[in-house]
Amino acid sequence: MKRNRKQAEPLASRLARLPSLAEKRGEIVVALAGNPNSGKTSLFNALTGAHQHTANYPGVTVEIKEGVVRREGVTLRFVDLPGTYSLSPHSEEEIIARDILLRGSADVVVHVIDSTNLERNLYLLTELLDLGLRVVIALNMYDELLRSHARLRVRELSEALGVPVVPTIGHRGQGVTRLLTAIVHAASEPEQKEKQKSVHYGETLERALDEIGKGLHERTSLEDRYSLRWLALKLLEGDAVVESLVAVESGGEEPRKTARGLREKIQATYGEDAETLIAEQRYGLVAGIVRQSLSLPLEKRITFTSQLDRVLTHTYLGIPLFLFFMWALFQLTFSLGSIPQGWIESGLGWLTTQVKAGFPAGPLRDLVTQGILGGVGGVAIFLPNIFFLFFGISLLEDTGYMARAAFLMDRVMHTMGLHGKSFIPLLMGFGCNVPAIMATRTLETRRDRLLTNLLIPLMSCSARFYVYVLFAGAFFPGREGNVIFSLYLLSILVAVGIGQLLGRTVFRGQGSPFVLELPPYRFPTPRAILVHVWIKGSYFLRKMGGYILAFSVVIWFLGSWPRLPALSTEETITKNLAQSQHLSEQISYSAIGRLGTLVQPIFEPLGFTREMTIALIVGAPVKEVVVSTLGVIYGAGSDSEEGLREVLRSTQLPPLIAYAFLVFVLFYAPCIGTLVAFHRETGSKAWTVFLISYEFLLAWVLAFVVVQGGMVLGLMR
Amino acid sequence: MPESKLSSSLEDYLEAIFLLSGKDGEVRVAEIAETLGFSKPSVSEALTHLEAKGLIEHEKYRGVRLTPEGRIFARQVYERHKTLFIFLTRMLGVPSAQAALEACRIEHTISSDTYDRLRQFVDDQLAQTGDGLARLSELSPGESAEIVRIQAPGWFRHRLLEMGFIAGEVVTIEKIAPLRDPIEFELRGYHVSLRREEAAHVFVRPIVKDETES
Repeated sequence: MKRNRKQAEPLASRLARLPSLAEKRGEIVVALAGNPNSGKTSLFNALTGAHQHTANYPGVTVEIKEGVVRREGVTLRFVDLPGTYSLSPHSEEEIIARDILLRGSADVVVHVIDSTNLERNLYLLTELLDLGLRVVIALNMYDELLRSHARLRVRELSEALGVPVVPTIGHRGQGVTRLLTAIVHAASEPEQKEKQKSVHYGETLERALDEIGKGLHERTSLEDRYSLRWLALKLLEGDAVVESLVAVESGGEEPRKTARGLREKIQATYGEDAETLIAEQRYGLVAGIVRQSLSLPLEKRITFTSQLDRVLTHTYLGIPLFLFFMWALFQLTFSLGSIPQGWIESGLGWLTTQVKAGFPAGPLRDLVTQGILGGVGGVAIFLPNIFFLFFGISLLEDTGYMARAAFLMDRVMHTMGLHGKSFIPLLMGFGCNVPAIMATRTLETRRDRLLTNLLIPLMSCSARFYVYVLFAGAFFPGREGNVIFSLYLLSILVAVGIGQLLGRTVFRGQGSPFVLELPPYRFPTPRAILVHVWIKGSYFLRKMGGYILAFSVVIWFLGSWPRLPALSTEETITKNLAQSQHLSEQISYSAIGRLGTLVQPIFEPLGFTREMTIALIVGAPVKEVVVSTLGVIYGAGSDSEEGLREVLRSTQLPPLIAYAFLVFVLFYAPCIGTLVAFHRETGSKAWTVFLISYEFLLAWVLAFVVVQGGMVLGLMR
Repeated sequence: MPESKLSSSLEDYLEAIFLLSGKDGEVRVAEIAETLGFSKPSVSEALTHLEAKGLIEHEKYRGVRLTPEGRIFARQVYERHKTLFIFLTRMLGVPSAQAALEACRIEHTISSDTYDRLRQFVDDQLAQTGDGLARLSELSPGESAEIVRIQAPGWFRHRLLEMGFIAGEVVTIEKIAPLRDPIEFELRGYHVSLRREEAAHVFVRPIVKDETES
């Protein structure tokens, strides 16, 4: 109940903070509500097409999309609410959906329903009707209902509920025109609200609701803003958020006490609490209406889904098949993704030579070629991974396999305090942390997303692999495989440990109940997948690309300024040597070089040299740079791998320190892209700072343990 | 209802309608009369009373149907009957014919406080002998069970209620995940999975041959 109190407090202020959904002039605001897996998003895409954007709600980290459509001279502004099973205050998504509906800023609510699962979906309707909102039902995935040989008397359903019902097939865009007409009609029809049925909760409960409602009406001014019936229901249920909302209202104490008394009385007479009774009544009404308007085929058919599930979640085959799919997804994203990455690199290389030919040598040319083009490359390089990964993820989500993946993996993830669905983002972290963090959107609660996001940077991504290969080659010849393997193992073990630690401390007691729906398998449509991929890619460019670019330029700048005083020609002995020496001295002379000297004492206990410290600072934002920077500082003549390895070997660094260095590189700080993505997805500066600090601390402590432990074991030669 | 307590015969009517309701939820008046051994006119009169209290719906020339409120009430009467019957037969050794008859009488007069204690006692006894109510997590794939009650912390119980886990609803165990957790269930025509520890909060009565009818 602690969680409730935490959420309870800011509701009133959050409501005040939410900007009005739209300037209400000649505009109808339509909120799209519905259960997860009801095809709500594809219907939203079909309704609004490309005219959609992410709405900005201060302090709200759940993505809410808006889109505008013109129809019969009216502007319809669609707001896509998070998919929820109910309007209870259990998760941030539900609270936000509820806040928006409560504010009354939606003129019409379109309740998107999975036609093949009427009973469970209609439960939400009873809540919408209790809120006193104008509702239109979109009977989505209607084609599946027809294919299942069930017969639904749509008009009878509509009459029984008192709500317009329009069959739709969201992913094919069918029924959209009729739905738009129904929305415009519902918004302008004065009798719509009177026609709508709401649940009759039985005499005892109704009398209690009347009594609470009367108290609220007489003593408070809440009815200007909220439906009294709904408030009364929530008070009777003991909803902590609403209780505190009423309590802060002047005169609210009395009705709240009345509600408490009635709750106890109901509990005593019925032997069940009001919450249970209310849910029973709601399902009672819904089940009755469904039974009357729906005829199911007589024999239970063996469905395509259950046949497929026999294989895909099979006791022995399920997990190997899952691992195969994950392998395929990984290959698709990172092996296939490296091909366009190669094109991007060579394209930028070509551009760099063009600029070099066109500009005179000097700071400006360096800024363009190294700073800006380098930064653009740093952004563009993520795009192929993002496109391929989200292509794969959309495929998994739209087919319904994602839920099975969570079903298969939950046992493993649960030990880390995570949800089964966290597995895929974490696994993808081994390729690249940035798309992995973006993939946490598939998780349903903010707590799971945050915890998963905190763990993803611990996954050893491919940029770090590049550092391992060079170091292992230089310092552990013949044992490269074992060294690299041990680092990956460490990465996983630490993630498990940190996951458990955070789960038991910071996120204690907030574990979301699993309650995972396993929707029927469905054929994905190419259109829906492409739209999703496009949205993700453009989201990355718009919301993250700019920051990554800016940070890259700044870091480059700090590594190049202030500049060394120009060398006179006399000082040049051989041009080649001078150049590498010059670069080396330049880095030491720059802001970063000086910072390196300054913070060197921190790394003294780890046995790192000043050169290594500088490389760590330069490489903090982009890890693959660690090696090349070391090469530059140590004055490697060439960029080739062999050359770098030679130089590293020539430093005579003890292997133990080299290993500690790798451990440090593994954990120390997320790259710029990861940081920006993390900040964007969590929407929290505090958590971003926490991420950087705990990772740094972790890296230092582990490297220290390696060095000290190694010395005790006599490994230092 | 509970405030103006129903007469015992009305409770019997509700229980009978509850037990006789078929798939479409309707029961014919003749069936009720036959089951309870009353004449059709007196059945009609009782039905009018129940309808006035909002517990049933009865349209002319059609069957009788419980309202959601009536259903809750009827189920409780039925629950009481079952508990009493089990108590009398298994714990006191009363012969089943006599137990059925007396359960029918006691179920109308027992106070809710006494009944709660009795239910707790019976549940405990049954749990000791490994009989009776089971936890949803204990069943094997393919088995079905009727939900009796959910004993879970507030917000988790609320979530289960919203997902349709409501007393009287039948749940079928579909599959156990390869790593033995979570478990997949089917109810209300859809599939959902719960972790073992979560499913353990749901108390069910496995569906087998019914041994007690009044």
